[in-house]
Amino acid sequence: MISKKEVERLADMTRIAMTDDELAKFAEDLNEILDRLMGLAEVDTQDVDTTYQAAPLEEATREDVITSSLPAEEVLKNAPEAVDGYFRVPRIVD
Amino acid sequence: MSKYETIIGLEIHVELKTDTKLFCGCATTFGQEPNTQCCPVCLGLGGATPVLNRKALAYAIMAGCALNCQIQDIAKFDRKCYFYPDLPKAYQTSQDDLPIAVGGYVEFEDEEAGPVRVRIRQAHLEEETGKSLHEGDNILQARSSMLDYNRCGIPLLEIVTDPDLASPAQAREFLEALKSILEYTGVSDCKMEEGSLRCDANISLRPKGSTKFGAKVEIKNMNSFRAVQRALEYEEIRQRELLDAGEEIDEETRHWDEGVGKTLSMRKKEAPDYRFIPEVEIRPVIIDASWVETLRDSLPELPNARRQRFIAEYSLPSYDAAVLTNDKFMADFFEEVIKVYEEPKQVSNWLMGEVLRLVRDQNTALEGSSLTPKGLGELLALLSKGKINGPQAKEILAEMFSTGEDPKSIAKKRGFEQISDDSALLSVIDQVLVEHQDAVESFKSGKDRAFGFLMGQIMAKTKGKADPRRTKDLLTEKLSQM
Amino acid sequence: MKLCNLPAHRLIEMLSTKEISAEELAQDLLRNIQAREDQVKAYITIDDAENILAKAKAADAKRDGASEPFLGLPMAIKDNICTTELPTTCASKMLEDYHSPFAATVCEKLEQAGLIFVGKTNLDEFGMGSSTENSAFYPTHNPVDPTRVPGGSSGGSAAAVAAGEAIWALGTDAGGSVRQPAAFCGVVGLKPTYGRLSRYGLISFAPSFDHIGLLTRDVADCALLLRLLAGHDPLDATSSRSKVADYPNALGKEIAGLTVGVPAEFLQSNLQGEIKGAIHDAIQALKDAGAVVQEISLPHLGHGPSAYYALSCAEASSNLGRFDGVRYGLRDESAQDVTTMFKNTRRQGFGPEVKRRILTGAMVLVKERREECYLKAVKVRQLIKEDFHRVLDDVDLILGPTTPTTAFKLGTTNLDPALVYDADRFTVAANLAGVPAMNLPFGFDGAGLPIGLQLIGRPFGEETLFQVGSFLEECAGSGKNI
Repeated sequence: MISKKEVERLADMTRIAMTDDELAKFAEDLNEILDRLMGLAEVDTQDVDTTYQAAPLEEATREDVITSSLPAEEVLKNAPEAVDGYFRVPRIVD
Repeated sequence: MSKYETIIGLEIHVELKTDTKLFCGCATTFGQEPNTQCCPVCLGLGGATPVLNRKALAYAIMAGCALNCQIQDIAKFDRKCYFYPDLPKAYQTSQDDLPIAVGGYVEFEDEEAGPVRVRIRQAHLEEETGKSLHEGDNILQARSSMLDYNRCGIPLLEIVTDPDLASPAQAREFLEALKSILEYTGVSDCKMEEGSLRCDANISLRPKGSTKFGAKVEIKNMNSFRAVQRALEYEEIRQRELLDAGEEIDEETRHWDEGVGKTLSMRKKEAPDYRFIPEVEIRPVIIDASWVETLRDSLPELPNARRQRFIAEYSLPSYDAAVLTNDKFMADFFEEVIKVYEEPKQVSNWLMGEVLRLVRDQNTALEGSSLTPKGLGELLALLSKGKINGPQAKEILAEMFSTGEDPKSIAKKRGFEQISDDSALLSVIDQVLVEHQDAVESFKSGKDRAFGFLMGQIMAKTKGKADPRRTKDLLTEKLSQM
Repeated sequence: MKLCNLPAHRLIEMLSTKEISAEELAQDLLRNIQAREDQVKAYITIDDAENILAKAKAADAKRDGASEPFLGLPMAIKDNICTTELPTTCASKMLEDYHSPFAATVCEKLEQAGLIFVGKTNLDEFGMGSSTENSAFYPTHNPVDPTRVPGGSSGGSAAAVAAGEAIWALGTDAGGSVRQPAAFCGVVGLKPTYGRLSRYGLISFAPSFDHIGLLTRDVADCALLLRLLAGHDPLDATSSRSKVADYPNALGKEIAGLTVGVPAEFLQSNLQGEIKGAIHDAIQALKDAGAVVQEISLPHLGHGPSAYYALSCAEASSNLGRFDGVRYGLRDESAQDVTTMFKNTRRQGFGPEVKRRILTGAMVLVKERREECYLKAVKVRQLIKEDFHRVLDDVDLILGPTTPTTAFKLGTTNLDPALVYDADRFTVAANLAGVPAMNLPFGFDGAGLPIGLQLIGRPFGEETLFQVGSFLEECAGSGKNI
C-alpha cells in the first residue's frame, strides 16, 4: 500500500511538481503497480546470485589518456542561460 | 581536567591525480577557463555512456594499501541519486555496498597521548561534482549561481575513519599524517587550499567512563587543517557548556564560519534517501590479487617506516626524522645528499635550518628551487674542509637555491676562499693588534667585548675570509702572550 | 514497383550497376513521404528536401562501382538516438529544441558508410510505451490500418519502413520496442544481443535493457545492416568485443538438423487465434524442412513483466534525472530558485507516462521497499536469464509469438493498463536475458493485419536468427510491401 503522502514525497524526491489531483491519480496507479509487483514474492530466490546486467562480464576500462573535450561553444549551445562561459541558474536555496 | 571524553571521526575527500576524469577522457587540469574541459559524459548529456579510468582504480587501490586496508576483489559502482545543479546526471556515480578498500588504519604520534592508531572504516571511489559560483557574497544571498563543469567527473577517494580521534589536535595530526602518506604514494596532492582535499568532521562528547555514544554533530566548511582543529575546539566547548548546563545536544549539521570563529546551525533537514541503484553502465571489474600485489609493491617506503629507518640508520633524533620525512621530496633529497656527504646530523641541520628558511622566505617549495642534493653535499664538504666559513656557506646556499650553480664556482666567483693558514692569519692578527692597542688594553683590563671588536677587525681586514675558529684560537693565544 | 518500397539489398545492386541513381531514389522516397506522411505521421523531423537531394547527388558523383555499397542510401533514425545535424527530441517537450553536440556511434558508422539521414522518427516519449501514443507531439498511425496503432515505442520507424517512407530504420528496444511495432506493421525487427551494437548516443531510459535495434523490409537487409553496425565501441563500456560474423552468409543456409524450442508458457497463454495458427504453420514448415521442433519450458517467464517493470522504472528514475533545465532542454523561466525550477521544468517537460514510471522507479528504490521490490526483481531477472541459457544449451533457437494480438485500435491503451502490461510478456524476456530476438512477419489475420513471429537465439547467435528467419520468410512469401 502506498499513500498519497508518500507519492508526494516521491514526487518531491524526483523533483516533479504535481497538483493534488495528479498526486491522487498517481497514487491509484502506483498502488495497482505495487500490487502486481508483489507477485514477485512468489518466486523462490533464496540461492540466487545477483548479476547487474543482462550480458556476461567483459572488462571494459580505459587508459588515462586525454581525449579532446567539446569546445566551450558546443558545451553551451543548448544552454537555456549562458553567461561568460558559465551556465546560469536561479539561486540555490540550501 | 575535563569530565567528558571527546570522540571525533572524519570524512575526507581526496582528488586523485589522474590526467583524465573517472569516466571520460577530459583533462583534469586545475584553473582552466570554465566549461572547457567537458564532454557529453561529464556534462550528463543524454546518450553519453561512462567508461572507467583504470588508473583511477589503481590509485584507489594504492591508497587503500597505504592505509593498510583490505582491497575488494571486485570494483562495483552505484548511483547515489539526488538533485543539485552541480550534479549533471542528478546522480553521483559512487560506491555503496562494496567500497574499494575496507578495514585499515593510520598511525601517528600525538603530542599528549603518544602513539595513536585511527582505524579507517572504508575508502571508496566516486566522481567530483561541478563548481558553482554564487553571485554576491555567499550562497544564501545570491540571486543566481554560475556553473562550471570542468571539475565534474574528476576521481575522488572518500576516506571514512572510525570515531577514534580523541581531540581536535589529534584530528589535525591525523590529517597531516594522512596527507603525508598519500603524497608519498603519489596518488594525490592533498592541497586543501586548492580543493584537492576536503574534510568534514563528526564530534560527540560523553561523560568519562560512559560507553554510550553522545549526540553526534557534523561540521562542514572547514578549509584548512588548522580550521578543522579550530572548529572542533569551538564545538567541543559549545557541547561541553550545554552538557554542563544539563541541556541536550541536537544531532545536526553545523557550518564552520571562519570569519566569526563559530559553528552555526544549518537548517535541519530530513536525511535524504539516495535511492542507490547499481551503475549498470559500468561493468563490475574483477580485481586480480596479483594486480593488487603489483600495486602494493610499487608503493615507496611510507612515512612512518621511513621515519623509523632514518632514526635507526642515520642516528637522527626523532624530531629531525619526523621533519625530514614529513614530505617525500625532502626525505628523498636528504638521502641523496647523504650519498655525496655522509654526515646525517649536519645535513639534517642545514635542511631543517637554512634550507627551510629559504623555502619559507621565498614562499616556495624545495621542489621548485634549483638546489640539488649534490650541490648541497658539495657545499657542506667545502665548509667542513675549511675552504669557506659558515656565513659564506649561507650566502652560497642562497645563490644555489635560485640558480642551481655549483658551490665551488660560486665561491670562486665571490672570492670566498677562507683563509685558514696560520701564518697568513697571524700576520693579519699582528697588524690589527698594533692598530688597536686601546682595544688590547681594554681586553686585558677584563672587558671581553673588546675580543669581539678585535675579531671583527680581523674579519673586515680579510674581507670575511678568515676562518673564524682558527682566528679565535690564534687571537686568544696571542693575547694571552701579551 | 516503386523504388521506395524495395529492400535495401535490391537497391544496392541497382545503384552499383547505375540502373538507378541515389538522386532518383531520394526523389521517389520524398514523393512517397509527401503522399503518406499526413496520414501516417511517422516522422518528427524530416530534413529539407534540398539537403537530402544535395547529399544524394554528391553520393552519385562519388560512386565508383560496388566499392561503397551504402553510398546514397537513405536511412531513418528513431528520435531518441543522437544525431548532430537533425534535432533529437525523444518525442518530448523536454527536448523539443535539443541539438546534440555529438552523434551516436551507430549514426557515425552510417554516415561514414555514406548513408543519408532522411529524418527522425516518432516514438513514445523517451521510449516509454507500446503504441507511440505517448509521443508529446502526435501519435503515429499504422500504415496498414490508420485507425490502429503502429506499436511502440519505435512506432515511427516501423511505420515508415512499412509505408515506404523509409527503406530501413534504426529503432530502440528496451522491452520489445522494436519487435512489437515490427509485428504490428509487418516488417522485420531485430533486437540484437545486448552489447552487439554500441549504445553510445542512445538516450536510454533503462540502460541495462535498452538496445539499438534494426527495422527492415526483409531478413537480408537486417543481416546487411547488422554487419555494418556491429562491433566493439570503446566509448560504451557495455559493448562487446565478440567477433562480428559475416551475417549475410547465414541467409538461405540449410536448416535441417537445427533444433527449435517452443516454450510451453508462450503457447499456453492467451493468444489471438490466428497468431497461434501462424506458429503452428511455422512449426510445420520447419519440421518439413528437417528441423527438430520440441516443446521447452521457461518456468519464470510469467514474472518477466513485473521484473522488467520494476527494474526498468528504477533505472529510468535515475536516468531521467539529468533533464532538469540546467544545461539543455526545456527550462521553466519563471522560477526564482533552482528547486522550483527543477520541479516546474520536469512537470512541464514530461508526459504522464514518463512521470508514472519515474515515480514507480523511485518507489521501488526507497529504503523501505528496496529489498522486496528492487532487489527481488534483480534476482528474478537472474533466474529468467538462467532459464534462457539452460534452454539455449539444448536448442539452437526459440520460436514463439511476438505479441498476443495484432495491432490494436488507437485510443484503447488507457482502457486497461493490465492488458498493456501483460502484452509485453513475450518480448521483455529477451531484454531481461540479453539474448538476441527478431520479429519476422508471417502472414496476416482475418482483418488483414500483419502477424509476427519471434525468433530468439543464443547470445551473439544472430546468424541462426537470419538462417531460420530467411527460411520462414520464404515460406510466408513475405517481402511483400504495402
